[in-house]
Amino acid sequence: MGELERINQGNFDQKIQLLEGVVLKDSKSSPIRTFTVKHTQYAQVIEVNSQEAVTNEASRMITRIQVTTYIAPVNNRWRLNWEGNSYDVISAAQIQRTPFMKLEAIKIFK
Amino acid sequence: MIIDRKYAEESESVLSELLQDFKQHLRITSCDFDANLLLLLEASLEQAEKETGCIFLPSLITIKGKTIINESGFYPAFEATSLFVDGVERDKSDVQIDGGRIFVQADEGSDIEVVFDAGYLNIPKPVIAAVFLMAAALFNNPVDKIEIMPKASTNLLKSFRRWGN
Repeated sequence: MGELERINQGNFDQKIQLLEGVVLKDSKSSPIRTFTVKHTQYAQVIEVNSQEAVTNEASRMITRIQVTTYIAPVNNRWRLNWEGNSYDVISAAQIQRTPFMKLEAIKIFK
Repeated sequence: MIIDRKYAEESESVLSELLQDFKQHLRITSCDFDANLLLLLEASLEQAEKETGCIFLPSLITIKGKTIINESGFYPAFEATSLFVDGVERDKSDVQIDGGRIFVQADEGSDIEVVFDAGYLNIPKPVIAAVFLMAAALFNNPVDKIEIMPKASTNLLKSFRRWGN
């Protein structure tokens, strides 16, 4: 049996918004994705930045964050807002036998 | 001797205030966990009461006995709300309350039923802190462990422990 991870909500010093993605159809019946805020909660956020090579030899910083917070029915169709930026959730996993979950999300550049 | 305890009406508001404070303590903004948190708070309060021998939630306690009632372990007990001897209402001032001890005497073989108030309307802050730590430990990691209570809770409750009455 694996060792249990100890989470302390004293580290939840950031406020995040969790947004659910819903696909709707516009007047021309084209699908559009909209996001509505479902939860606003405290979380621990760790920034994991890395360089990613892109075309024409330039490099761009992608910002990935790891979020620990209370469980909510989040999946990779959700987004989260943190410090005025939007992030796409790429993975969500509950921490076993605890009321917490871990999310990984990537910043959306507009 | 029959002892029955019912929570007083005020206990509902005390618990609901505690729940809001506990959610702040845990930094929970939603109501998703409310039922579970309330259960854990009540369980932790009961554990704290067992640990100290005090009554923390406002309660109405009924004691039934014959001839003489001389019972302790109800700290803090306040005034008696009713006294019946052989089914006949008597003057409440016949009930002597001293700290957590209740004393009533009647004629030989008489049935006595006394009801009195006990518990805190404002639960002492160290007790609240101890209860929050216990409930938080149960909430965060609800699995078996060796300790019944966090060490900090034991220390916070230490000064409230009553020996004897």
